[in-house]
Amino acid sequence: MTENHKSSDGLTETVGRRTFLKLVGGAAPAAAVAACSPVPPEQIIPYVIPPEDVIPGVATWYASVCGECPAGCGTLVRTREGRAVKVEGNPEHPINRGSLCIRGQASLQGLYNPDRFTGPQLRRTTNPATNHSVLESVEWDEAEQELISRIEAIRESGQAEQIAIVTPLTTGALGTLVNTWAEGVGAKHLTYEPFAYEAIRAANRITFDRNAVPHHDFASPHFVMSFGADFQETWLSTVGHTRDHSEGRKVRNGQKARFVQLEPRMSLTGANADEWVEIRPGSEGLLAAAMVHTIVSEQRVQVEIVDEETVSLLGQFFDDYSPEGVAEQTGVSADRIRDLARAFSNPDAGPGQSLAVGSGIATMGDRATASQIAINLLNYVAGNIGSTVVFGSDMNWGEAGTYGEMVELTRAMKNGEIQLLVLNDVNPVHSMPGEIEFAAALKEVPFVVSTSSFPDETSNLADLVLPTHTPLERWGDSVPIAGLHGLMQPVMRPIFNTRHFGDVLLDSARALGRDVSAELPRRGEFLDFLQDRWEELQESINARETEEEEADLQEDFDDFWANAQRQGGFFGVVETDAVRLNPTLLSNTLELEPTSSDRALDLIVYPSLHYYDGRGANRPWLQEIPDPLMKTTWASWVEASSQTAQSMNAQEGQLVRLTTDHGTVDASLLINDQLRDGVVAMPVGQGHTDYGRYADGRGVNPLALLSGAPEPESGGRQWVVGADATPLGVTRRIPQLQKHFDQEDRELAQAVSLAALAAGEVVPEEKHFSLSPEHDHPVHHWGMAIDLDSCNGCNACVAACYAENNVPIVGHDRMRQGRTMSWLRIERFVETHNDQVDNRFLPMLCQHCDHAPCETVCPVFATYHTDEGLNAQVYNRCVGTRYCANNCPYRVRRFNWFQEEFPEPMHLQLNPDVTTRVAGVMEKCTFCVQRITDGKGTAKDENRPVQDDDITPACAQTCPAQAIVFGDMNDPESRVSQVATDARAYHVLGELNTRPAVTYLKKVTQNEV
Amino acid sequence: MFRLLSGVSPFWISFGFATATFLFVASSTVERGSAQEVSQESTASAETTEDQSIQPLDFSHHHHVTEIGLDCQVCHVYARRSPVAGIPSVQRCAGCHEQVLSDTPEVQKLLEFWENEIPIPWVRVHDLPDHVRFSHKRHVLADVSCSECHGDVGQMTSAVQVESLSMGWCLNCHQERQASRDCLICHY
Repeated sequence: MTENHKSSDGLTETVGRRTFLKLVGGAAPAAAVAACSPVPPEQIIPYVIPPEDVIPGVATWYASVCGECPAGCGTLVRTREGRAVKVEGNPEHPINRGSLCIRGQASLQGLYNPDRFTGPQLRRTTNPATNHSVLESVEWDEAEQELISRIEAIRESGQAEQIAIVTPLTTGALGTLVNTWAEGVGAKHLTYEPFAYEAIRAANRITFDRNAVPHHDFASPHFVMSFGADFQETWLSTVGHTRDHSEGRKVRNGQKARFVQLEPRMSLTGANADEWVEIRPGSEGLLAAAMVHTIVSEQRVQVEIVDEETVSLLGQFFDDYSPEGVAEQTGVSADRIRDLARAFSNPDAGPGQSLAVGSGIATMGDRATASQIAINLLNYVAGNIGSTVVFGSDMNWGEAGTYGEMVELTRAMKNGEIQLLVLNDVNPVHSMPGEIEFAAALKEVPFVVSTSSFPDETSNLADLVLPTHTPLERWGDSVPIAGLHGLMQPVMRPIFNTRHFGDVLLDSARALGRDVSAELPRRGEFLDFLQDRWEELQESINARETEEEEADLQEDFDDFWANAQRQGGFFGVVETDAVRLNPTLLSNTLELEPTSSDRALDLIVYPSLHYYDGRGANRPWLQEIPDPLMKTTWASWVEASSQTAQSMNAQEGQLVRLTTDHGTVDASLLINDQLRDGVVAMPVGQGHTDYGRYADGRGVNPLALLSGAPEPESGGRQWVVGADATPLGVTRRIPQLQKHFDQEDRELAQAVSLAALAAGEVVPEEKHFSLSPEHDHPVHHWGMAIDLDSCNGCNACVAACYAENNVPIVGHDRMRQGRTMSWLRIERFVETHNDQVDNRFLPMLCQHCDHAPCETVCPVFATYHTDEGLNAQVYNRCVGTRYCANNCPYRVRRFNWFQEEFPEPMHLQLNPDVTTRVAGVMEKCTFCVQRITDGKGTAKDENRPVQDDDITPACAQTCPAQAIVFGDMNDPESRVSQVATDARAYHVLGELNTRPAVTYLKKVTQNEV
Repeated sequence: MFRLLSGVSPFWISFGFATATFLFVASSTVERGSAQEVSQESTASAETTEDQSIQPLDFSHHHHVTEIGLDCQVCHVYARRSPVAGIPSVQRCAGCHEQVLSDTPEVQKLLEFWENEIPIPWVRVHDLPDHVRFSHKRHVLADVSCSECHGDVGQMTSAVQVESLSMGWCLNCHQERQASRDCLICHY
């Protein structure tokens, strides 16, 4: 053995580490050896017929579309040996351009969810006396026949209109098929989205005669004002908006676009604003109106084609809303409103240089539509319509139904006017306000069919379950923006005995006879139907091309289809439409004042970045990863400011009973000082009772507190309601990974003011002298740079890291003990300067220090410094002393106290390129060493040096704000080397002289730091 | 790396004996680690005696490689392209044997697998521990011949393991060829 330890310079060790361990091992008790008997021989199973596009051991990628929300981001799914292991954004897709949010990353846990329906089920009565019944497994033929015969019977009795089908917002071929099916059968069709932005559509209809959601340009305006729109979390198309906004807010020529967020509770989006203005709930419209009032009265109107008459009408229209007049109701001073108005419509900058967005879920009250009209007019007078608010390339939200339609359906169900109801992938029992009593209404429907993939509060009440594929298993397409067609293709075979919803519709329509299926093809599956639609698309493109001079005809459909499969769809551009102000609008009046309630507090229910409307709650990553602002996990809570908590005489963690006119819930209190006094807030999404092991019993559903009445103008929901809060005698602490947001003057997350940056007055990092010898990095020196000015704390990188590196979850109980296995976390720090809150988000991962404190204390050489600058962790060497974790000043090392489990079929998601760790070993961020190895291999195969694009760690790949850069610091041309020379560069805890390989760039604030 | 180690070896001796008791009692992983190495080496020597009965078919490498002259990668097709060399698909075996020697008893067995579309349950002979990431592709492209690790398979009927495949054995070769001996090359 000593022979093997001859080092290259000829020195021979007498007793090496290995030899020492062998000696130690030889003296070990015999029992320990016996406990480790050789493993039985493994089998090695060949393919019978090898698939053409699969090389075992090499990843195959498929382009598809994310199905987690209607935004329709393009995805690339990495599969290994026929199973999906990682979802990434599609760089060629115009919406998300390679990025993906936390929900998209977690879509794998929908696919591999262990609580999915495994096959069709039919309800059978087990005890007629007690009316007790259970769902029992049946065959597909029998299940479909049941549906068909039920529909047949209803149609024969001439009551087809008593059949209803409810789907989520579905565009493309499936949307067409559902419409055709419903028309053929004679059934009602509703598209139901809990977040449907009815107010935006209604306001655009009233203001511009367009029942549509336009494209909002966040990249170019110099001033963005958001009236409670959480466009970096759930509002419309979050990844696209975040990409644009982050690009648009980069410091250029000493200038940085200004961003003001107005809302009672600081959302994550608000936390990234330069100014957060805490206005009274529901007063957004008043503030917008006062801004228009100022712009008109100060003659700052910047619409090019506008006559004097319109201007004077505008003046009259907003005459009652002077800044002084609304200051009291909005809680914002008149001077501040004027300042905002002058900056918003600034003739020096020219027209169309700003953007106002509104109608975030949490701000929709009983004046939602009127408020949005005021915001529309604010955009109008600043000349933004056609510039930063563009109609023509409209978003798909225009095709969603309204909440009011669902209320009407529920009423019809209760009255026995619905005999058969088909619910596809919607969960109204959970997502409708409790007051509506959707569950009770379901009981009045004789036959309920659910085609959901998961058992949930709604599908568990169904009489027939026809489980559909999850988006990663099915064909489909999506048109998120007019002209932009994303193609969804299955990335693996269905895991369970499920069927495509489209095939169920086609089968049933054909079985019901020619009068139902007249408009449908006589044969073929949904895939054929989809291809027919794409053939029509190709023809329409060709027809348009022929009209133009330089025709670029796509002759062959097979080529067109193959190209769409490769690139993830067909991405056309639609010309913009000019819109004009509805002339009748200004002759009416606008009612903007919110109705006041008798209750002591205002409650706002806000959408969740993690759970969206609640559909994400059964994905364990989304539960486990701490909330971006409150840093809580596996729970729901009620937030109040310190002062509000004091006035209700409650402590943090204490159970508080919230009572509104519509219901009562109890939730633990969490102090949030970024919340207006007199307001309490609750996140939506938790409180499931029947949505699988990860979701059930986590917190409460705040929708029980909301009014069921739709807002009259738009038919939208009201998410703001008056409430009373009573503290109860019980304390239930919520698992929270970061308990306070004070840096304690440690300057972990640093910032520099824009003025200081422009003047070149950035204090450079102090250089420290070191006694330790320097490491030699002869070939590569991997490093990372994170721009804190771009990072918005959205957690997408954290989920990507969980997915890529087989990081296990620890669950609620161990989270409450403060444990976590995450390799990457986002720390949040709150600073206050002159009453202006400054949030800083600090992604914290292994810093791969050159002088790493962990390396020197490892007794078994399991952690050491590689020639390429990585801080290596060798699992099979680690004996679990945990010295390294105790010596790490960044607290990024994680110890496996337990053997973590991945319940079937979750284990299929594990990345085969990364070892799953066992109990007793330490683990931490590796800079995705498997991707480094892979990237070096690619460069070697092509006989060239490694380039920047060869290696991208999972976190940097998915970042919607493009805050993370990775590369070789030895290469002066690499992006990471360039970024590291920025004046803003610093290292966290640089004074410890650990020489991290992660460089942070200071946040840039508009105000003094 | 080993230059580094030789620098710290005196530390090892002093540290080692002071904490030896601790390592015995508290950390079975050390024992498991070394025990694994011992058992690996002993099973390796046991497997050098040919035991053809473990495989479901009496397949002869000698016949295919030496007598017919097929290259290894004719059947193990992925070796040049992937971390895994690949076991030939049943289709590939049947592709020849539907015509060739289709009446011999072993080929009859093979064709039975093919007709029933059942993969052949071969028993793995060269099995590295799960914490080792080995790439056939990198080794093949670096002109390491198959026989350096797998022995002279052309003279075997069923393949048997002739090298220990222990870490020390791997490192010997890496040292001779001046390939990287960084832990992260194989362990991550």
